[in-house]
Amino acid sequence: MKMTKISADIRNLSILTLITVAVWIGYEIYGIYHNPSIPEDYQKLVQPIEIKLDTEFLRSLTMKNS
Amino acid sequence: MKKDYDYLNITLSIITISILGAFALRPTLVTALKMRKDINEYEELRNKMRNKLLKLGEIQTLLDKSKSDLLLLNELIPDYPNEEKLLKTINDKALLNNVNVTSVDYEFDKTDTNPKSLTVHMSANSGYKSIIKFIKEISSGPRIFEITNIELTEEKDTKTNNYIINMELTGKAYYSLKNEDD
Repeated sequence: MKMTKISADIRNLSILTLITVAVWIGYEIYGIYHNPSIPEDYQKLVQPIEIKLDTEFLRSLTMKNS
Repeated sequence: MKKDYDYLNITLSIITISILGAFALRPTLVTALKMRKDINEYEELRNKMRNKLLKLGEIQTLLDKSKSDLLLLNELIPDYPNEEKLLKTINDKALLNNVNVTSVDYEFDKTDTNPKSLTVHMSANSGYKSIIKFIKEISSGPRIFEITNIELTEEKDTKTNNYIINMELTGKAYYSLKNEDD
């Protein structure tokens, strides 16, 4: 009877350990997908740039001053 | 007894799976997923960089095309006050039109606006036609000079018996301070 009780405890403990390991793996996977792996400096480097040069206006200035 | 044996088997299996999970499956899984994610992210980064390089090339071409226009724009509204050149231009034009400039004073814009203005106060005298030609010339460039106030008074020259015009002029030239980000 005593032996069965110890075995059941060890079994419960091992199940809890398995759950802990599963949670640990899940947490690490979550960390991988939710933390950016590219440094922030690189992200700043690739920020898109827009061309804002009013060439029509510049041309009209040239025409006016020529 | 049979039940105990089964329990032992299950327990040992679970322990084995736990150990394998913690020390073999976890590092492998983590490394594989991290590498896959890195590859995707760096691939995306490379594409963005390639697009940015193309865009920079376009900007360079556009700048090369508009270089002369931009130089003109810089002359119309320079990126620093350049008051010396403005005063020299005014003086040259006064000499050219026989206008006697008696005083010139200028003040800088103290507000935070951009473009900023450089206000010029000037007193001068000459004949009517010379004054008109002088005003036309200083307001027609090359630098933008906006005349905000003119006061003209007529006076008879006792020596020559001719009428001369006394002019009080206030005008604004502009300059654009560049931002740090530009």
